[in-house]
Amino acid sequence: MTATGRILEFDFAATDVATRRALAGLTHRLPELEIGPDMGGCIEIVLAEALNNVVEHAYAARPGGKIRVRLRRTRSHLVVTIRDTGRPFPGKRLPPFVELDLSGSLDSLPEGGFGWSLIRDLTGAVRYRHISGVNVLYLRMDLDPANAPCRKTMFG
Amino acid sequence: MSLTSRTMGDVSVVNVDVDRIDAAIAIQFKEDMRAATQDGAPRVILDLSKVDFIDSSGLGAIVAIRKQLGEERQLDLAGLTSTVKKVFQLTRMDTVFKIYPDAETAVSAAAA
Repeated sequence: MTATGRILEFDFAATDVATRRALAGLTHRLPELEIGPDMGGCIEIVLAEALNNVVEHAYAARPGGKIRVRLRRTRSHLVVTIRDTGRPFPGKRLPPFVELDLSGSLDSLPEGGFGWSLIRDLTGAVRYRHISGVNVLYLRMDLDPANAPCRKTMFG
Repeated sequence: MSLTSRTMGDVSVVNVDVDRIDAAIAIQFKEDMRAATQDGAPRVILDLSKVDFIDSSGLGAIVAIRKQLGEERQLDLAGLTSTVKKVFQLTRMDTVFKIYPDAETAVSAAAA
């Protein structure tokens, strides 16, 4: 992993074990971007969901894939760019937002589908492009305590 | 084994001994939970105080375990650290589970 000024960049194999290791390592390096543990937790949530999605869907059943992650800290934001060469999203568009239904019986509780809702809850902007065989996902997170959705969650 | 458990009467407290419940271990975690809750205790308290991070796969595993236990048994959560708590709040899963500050409080709530 390299840190150039206020940029952290790293790559790793597209497996769930390598993703686990990369994320655990990243949490120790966020102070280099002047990001504290509270905001760091939200960044880890967003990254984990985006990266799991690449491992499970873009590279599904295709060994040897790589994922490249870049985090750029601006005064008020963190801009995350994730690149992979796996399958693009269906229709080369981000999946639609689906509201989870928790109102039914125990048996009907959802066991998945939380990933994109977590990403959208915690990011100000999500953009996706498929350029010359590369999936590029941009995630922009507000770090300003007054605006950050991360800070608005209640702690009880 | 990622878990240790102890049963006192009707209550079983299961401690998670890993710091992350994520896609890499979600399936193993589910299997370990199944084994740890086999004694049939009517109330299971899952102590998450050592867990710093959970992703949607880990959350899905806890929901799956809740379903496995069925309507007759209860699964409560205790000791959620800040990022884990955030995941439960954002997905509104904090409305599905009873959540206690720590295992001790959860156990005494059962006795009351």
